[in-house]
Amino acid sequence: MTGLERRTYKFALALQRKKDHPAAVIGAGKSYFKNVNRSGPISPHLISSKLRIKLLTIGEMYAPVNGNFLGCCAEVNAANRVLHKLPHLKLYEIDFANARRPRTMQIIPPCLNCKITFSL
Amino acid sequence: MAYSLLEQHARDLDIFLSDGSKLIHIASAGGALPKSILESDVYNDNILSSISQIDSNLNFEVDINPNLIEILNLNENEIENYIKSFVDMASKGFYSYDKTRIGNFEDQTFHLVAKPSSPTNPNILFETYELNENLIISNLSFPNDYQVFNLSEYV
Repeated sequence: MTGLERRTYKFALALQRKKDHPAAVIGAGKSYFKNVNRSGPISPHLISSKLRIKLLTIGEMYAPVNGNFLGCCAEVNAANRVLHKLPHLKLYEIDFANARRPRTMQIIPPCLNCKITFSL
Repeated sequence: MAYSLLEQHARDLDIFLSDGSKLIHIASAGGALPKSILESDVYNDNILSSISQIDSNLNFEVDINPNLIEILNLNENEIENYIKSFVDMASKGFYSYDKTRIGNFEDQTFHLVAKPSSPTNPNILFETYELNENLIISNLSFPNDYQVFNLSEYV
């Protein structure tokens, strides 16, 4: 298990113990900076321009696209924090752990939008 | 207010209802909910808080679905973490169901994870957990067996 996986697992386990149940959590990072975040619509005031531009090539923000809601995945929230810290990073350079469902600790496969956005 | 689409996508919701003969708990796993239970947000939150706060003497023995490894493609080590939340609900008298195909928003396939070993009296549970007449009652009896089913056919 990588450091990013371990961090994601511990974060999900802590939420499970508190009975706090987002649909998914995931860790993202590069070199020294890592962030674990949860699913939910990203604030339009906080999203990095690089990420927003890429998402807008797929569809309308917060609308259903390819069976999921664009800009609402845990991947987007975690990657956005990484991009704020490391703005030079390209989207495909961000490393991700497996997304987990805190209630059950199941691994959740990435959706098509995240596959396109981050070249997963 | 009803659950919004974004809320359904972002949260693993706890939904409570009854089919007349038993009390039912459903975990949404970030999936779409059938229209008939979209308006249940206020009472679901109240029930969840009531269940965790009320110090009841109810502690049912629990039966666990023996087919979980096949249904979910999990290994035996993963089952222990998987069942915790559902066993907790079943020990309080609820038949606890989960979404089968997580990551697929529209899919309505569900399965029973855990249930009380002996039949429960819904009236006692209603009184204990201070449930009210707002609780949604489904037209059909929810499956007691351990096979997958389509939730939208029941509520």
